[in-house]
Amino acid sequence: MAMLEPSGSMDEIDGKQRADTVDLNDSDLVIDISDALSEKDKVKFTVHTKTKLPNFQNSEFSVSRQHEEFIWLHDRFNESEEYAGLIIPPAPTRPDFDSSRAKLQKLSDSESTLTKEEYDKMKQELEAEYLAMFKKTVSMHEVFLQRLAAHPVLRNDNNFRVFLEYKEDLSVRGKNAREQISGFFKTLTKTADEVLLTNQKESDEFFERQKQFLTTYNTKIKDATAAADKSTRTHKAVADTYIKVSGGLNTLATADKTDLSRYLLLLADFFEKARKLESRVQSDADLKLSDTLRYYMRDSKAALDLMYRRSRCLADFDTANKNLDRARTKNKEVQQAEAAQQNIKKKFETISEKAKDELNDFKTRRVQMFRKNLVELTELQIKHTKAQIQMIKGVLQQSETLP
Amino acid sequence: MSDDQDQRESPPDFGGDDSSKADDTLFVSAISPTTVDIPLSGGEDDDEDENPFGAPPPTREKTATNTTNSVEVPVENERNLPEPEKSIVDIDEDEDIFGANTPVAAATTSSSTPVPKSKPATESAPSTPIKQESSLFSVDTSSSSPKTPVVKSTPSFDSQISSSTSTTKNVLSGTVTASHTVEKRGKDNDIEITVSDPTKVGDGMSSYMTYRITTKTTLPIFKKSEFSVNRRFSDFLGLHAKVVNKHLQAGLFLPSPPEKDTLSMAKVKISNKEEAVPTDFIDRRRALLERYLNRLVQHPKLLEDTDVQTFLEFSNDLPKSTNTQALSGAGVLRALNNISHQVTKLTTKTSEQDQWFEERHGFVLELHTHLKHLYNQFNSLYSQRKEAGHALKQFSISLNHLANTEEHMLLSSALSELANLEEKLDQINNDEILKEYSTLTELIKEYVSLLDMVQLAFHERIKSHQQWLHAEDMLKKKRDAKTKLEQSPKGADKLPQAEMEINEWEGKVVRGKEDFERISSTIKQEMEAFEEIRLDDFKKAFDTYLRNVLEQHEKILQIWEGYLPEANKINI
Repeated sequence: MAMLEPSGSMDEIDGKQRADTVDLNDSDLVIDISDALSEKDKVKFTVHTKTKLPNFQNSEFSVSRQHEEFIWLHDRFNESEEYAGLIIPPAPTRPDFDSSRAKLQKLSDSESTLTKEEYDKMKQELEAEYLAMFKKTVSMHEVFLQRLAAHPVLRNDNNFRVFLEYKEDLSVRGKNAREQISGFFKTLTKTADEVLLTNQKESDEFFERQKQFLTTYNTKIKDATAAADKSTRTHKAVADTYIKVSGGLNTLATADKTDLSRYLLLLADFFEKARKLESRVQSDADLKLSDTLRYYMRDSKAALDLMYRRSRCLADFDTANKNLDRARTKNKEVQQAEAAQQNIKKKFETISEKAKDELNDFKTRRVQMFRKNLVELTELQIKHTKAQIQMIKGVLQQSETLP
Repeated sequence: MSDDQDQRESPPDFGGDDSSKADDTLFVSAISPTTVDIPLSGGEDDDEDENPFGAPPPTREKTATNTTNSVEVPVENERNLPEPEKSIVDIDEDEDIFGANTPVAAATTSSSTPVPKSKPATESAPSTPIKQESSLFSVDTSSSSPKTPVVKSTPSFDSQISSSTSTTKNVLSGTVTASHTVEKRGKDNDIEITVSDPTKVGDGMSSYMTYRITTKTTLPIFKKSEFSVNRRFSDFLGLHAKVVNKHLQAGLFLPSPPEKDTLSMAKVKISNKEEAVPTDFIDRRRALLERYLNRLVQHPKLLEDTDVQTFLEFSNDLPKSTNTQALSGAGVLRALNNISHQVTKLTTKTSEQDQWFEERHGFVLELHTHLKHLYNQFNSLYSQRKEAGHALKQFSISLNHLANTEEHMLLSSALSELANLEEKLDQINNDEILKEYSTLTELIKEYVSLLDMVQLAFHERIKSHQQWLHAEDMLKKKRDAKTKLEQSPKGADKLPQAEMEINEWEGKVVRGKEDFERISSTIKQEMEAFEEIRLDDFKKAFDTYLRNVLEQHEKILQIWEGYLPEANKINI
């Protein structure tokens, strides 16, 4: 697939919307993905930056980045102590065209069993699907960068600057193996984290509430996302079946040499039009609703990660306190213990303070984004439904003119 | 006379074709001059300008060939009737006209009258349009006295042919008109049947379902204007068997009830009262049974059938029908398969008429195939819609959970409202599924089985033709035998016997031809009515379907418009 055209088959809102997803405080640092190329298994994103910030060499520049480099950047943030108290924007998911490719393959395998029109239409559908997925992955990568750019602290990170500016490859691919291992450890630590968080005594009411909320919320929104995806998928399958029905009616119309033939053609046409409109309904539902759910599933996970980090810190704090007590009772290495305890205490308090802000911000962001997308979803569905009604009325009118 | 020559080989032209390819039916009439005009069943209307049957051809020019529709085939000249004797003689020594004529005869009404060798071409059977079955006879009657064939032994045939050509057209159209005015089969037949209240009787494997059949009618043949009876599924199959036995041979297009489905029925039988009886299956069956009954009474002939009336009216239970396996759809299919091993077309030379039948038969097959495919596609659509419905339900539930978790009040209620919305969409979807099924899918299914029965009717015609051919074959053999006897000295005493046999087979040939012509005519009428109804049914179905879809979308629009203020309520 070649150049990416933001407008494409989606609504005009789309192109503008991506930029609005993230709250851009100012125009000091404006990032977008101006182009994307799909080559074999890789997608190459062209990251385009416009900036007034002094720490950059130029005011406008572009680099080519691949998915792994985005992951690298995310990991840098995630693993840094400096940002322990912050919610790190969730990393974009790996572009996965396998399922699309598999479907395309399946289609060409069954080419002989379909009529030419059916085959062409289904191919068109798949290609549109592919294009939509492509747009989505671009959007995900873009939003990730834009959130970083919008964050007053994260935007100044050095790795971030390098990512945006450095013309060469970041040679992170070699770290894939490391990524895999670290991924493995992550799952281990995650389970440990979950246990820790659940059992930990939390004196701060705010955080106690947040703990409950985030844990449950993350689960529920995961379910909702999956359900939304399934709904979109099954509805799209219905629309695809219209292709067959339309084809069958057309065949029947050709064989029937009576007046009925015109009615059959009309109905075939109806199903074809209905298919296109229904597809649009589902794509928009996917874009506005499912994607929002999906994003907040991942964002709430990022918030949860923050909670885990804090709780780990709290656990360390508890340990340091115990050590200090022990040291005091034994009267051995008290100073060291005191220093260590002070250190952790400071760390913990910093995290907690920042976390509070971040979590409040998370809530605001979430509510805003849902509102925006729900409103846009509703407006689009109203628009599409009206179009459907018009279409049906048109077909009915036409049928009245037939003998 | 002139034109007759070439006609001999060609069957009478029913399709109003100009090429009078009338076959020689005269032979039959010649042989049995006493044969009376056999009025064809059915068509009463006679708006033809042909000579009314009653008008004897004074000049022998226009022999009123009375056809069933009392359309006359004016015979051009007095060559109306062949000299009976002459014909016979001719025939005897003739080349195997039968053979030559068989294809022709097969064609249509034309009797495969052997054409005298002398005038091969002459022998064009009066191209009595198929509907005019007894053209021969009428001709016969009108000119009882053997007339000297102007041209040949079977003179009139030629004339008949030529005349019939024009006649045919008229007759045909006349008949067509007839069927229109006479057998209007729309839904405005003043009778409406509903099948309802499927009830389980008994328990376990010996249990069965009964259905309530309610008839509302203004027709005088019924004692009351509204009445109900209870029937079980095997009763339907029994009725179908009787109807088939009585009417299929005549070429009527019969409806057929839904198939026996042992597996689904078993599930029904073993399900307890508390458990859910497989309602989908039962309801679908109910709907198809209802369609079946309404189709039955839609057909004027079947409405007259006492078995049909009894089925609808008789308030007690009907005697149990056995052997229902053979009567179900599977049985029909088996019957069809057996037939397809036989000849599916008339193997003899085809005339316009035969081409018409061949083309129609082909059309029926094609339609059947395509409708079956369409049925599968709609079934597929049904499954997909059901799946989408489940997904909607799940989505609604998960949205509710999420709404309950959400800490921001306004967002929470907006999500909750969204969950409601999705649930309403699910309800509309379910409604759509049911309506689509009952409006379109069921109709398509019904037509697939109707077309099965149409094919059977066409096959009956072929069977009838074969019987006719067989009779002609036997007749020839008998005649040959008689000739031999005449030539042998000792044979004289066996002659009476031979004569008797010849008479017998002559009669059979006559009846065979009549039957063939009758069934051909019936099928034509049936086909026409069928096409009219088909057009009407599908038009109405499409219209209803589209209006349903429109209504659904208007509801959907209302739902989304109702949601917009909810979404807008969300603020930080």
